[in-house]
Amino acid sequence: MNATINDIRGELLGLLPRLHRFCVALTGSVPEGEDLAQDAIERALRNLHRWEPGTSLDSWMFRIAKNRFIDRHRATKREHLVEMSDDLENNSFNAVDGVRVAEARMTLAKLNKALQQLPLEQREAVALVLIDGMSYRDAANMLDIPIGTLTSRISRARAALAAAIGV
Amino acid sequence: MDPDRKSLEAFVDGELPPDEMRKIALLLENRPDLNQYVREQEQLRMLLRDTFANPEAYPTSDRLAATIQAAPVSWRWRFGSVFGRRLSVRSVMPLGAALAAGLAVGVLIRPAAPFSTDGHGQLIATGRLAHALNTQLASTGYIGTGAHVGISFRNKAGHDCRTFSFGNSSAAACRQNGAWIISVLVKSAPENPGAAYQMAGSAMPDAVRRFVEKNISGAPFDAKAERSARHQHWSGRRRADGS
Repeated sequence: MNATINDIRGELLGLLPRLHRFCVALTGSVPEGEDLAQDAIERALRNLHRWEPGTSLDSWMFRIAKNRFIDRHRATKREHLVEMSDDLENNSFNAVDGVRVAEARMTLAKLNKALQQLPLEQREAVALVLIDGMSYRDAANMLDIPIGTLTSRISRARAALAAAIGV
Repeated sequence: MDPDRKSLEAFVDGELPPDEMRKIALLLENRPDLNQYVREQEQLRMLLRDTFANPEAYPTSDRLAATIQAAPVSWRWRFGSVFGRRLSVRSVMPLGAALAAGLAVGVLIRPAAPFSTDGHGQLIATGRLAHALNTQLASTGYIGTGAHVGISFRNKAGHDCRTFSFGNSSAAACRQNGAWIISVLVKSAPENPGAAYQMAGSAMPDAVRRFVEKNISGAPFDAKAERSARHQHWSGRRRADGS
């Protein structure tokens, strides 16, 4: 039985948290990530005839989000470095100890800054595998690259991130 | 020979075959230098997930949910889904005539759609589905409405909510302002026409179960509470101002 539009909307609702955090990881900001996700959703539904039923809707959505991010980035010619957004910084830790909270926020700020400084190809690999928990195979398929290329990108990203936060 | 850095990282990511995972785990017991690297990578991964995958950092966005429910959908996809094939420009021409003729009949005989959107872009239950949610008790099982009600409960905001399956969709809806607003909707396994009761709590899809666990206040309604809620038109907990 073919998927109905309500099936598609239902799948998108289920995918929403993952899509949102993928966009946040790309942009470095919760509101910018939300804008990007909204843009991607609107574009996807407007071009739903381009999606091949039976293929992964998740991968298709992530690809659209990534492409929209590239388009928006080109259009605005923004600086690559994005400041740590207050909402992400303030909400990500619930530690009760004041010193720990301050330390945690500093680490988060460094981590986010380092993530945004990575080349996009490394950042998207980190977002899919280390943040979203996607398998190497699925992430490589989504990005249309060999698994070896994916693991090399992740490895370089790990080294840069670890150096940035002093792990 | 020592495993290289990428192998240790694949170990952290759980991406090695079971034999390799065991070998490295054994090796790490006697190699503090390698063990240290693995621990650092685990720490980094955990930190990334805590930062970006923490649902408390950015809960489900109402704006994004509304966009999913209300954004315009490709007309070519809609057309193709009706006729079961992808459209080319040439295929549209003859189909257009058939569609025009069919529309006149279709509007007369088409059953009411189970979902629609309200003025705020929220997905709401309509037609037979809304009727089933208004009247059907989970305790009485399937009564031929097309909807299989799972559990009923009150959410933390005081609204009455119900889980259900309808066709090949599973969902949860909460009653607000006289409408059943669909809070979560996922594709479920194809309906088994012979099944009398599709969606007991144990068969609930993960997304629906998560929604219930996150929002439920107290226990699910038992048969008596469910009847009482129906009698009260699923109006939920009345606020102090009586609204």
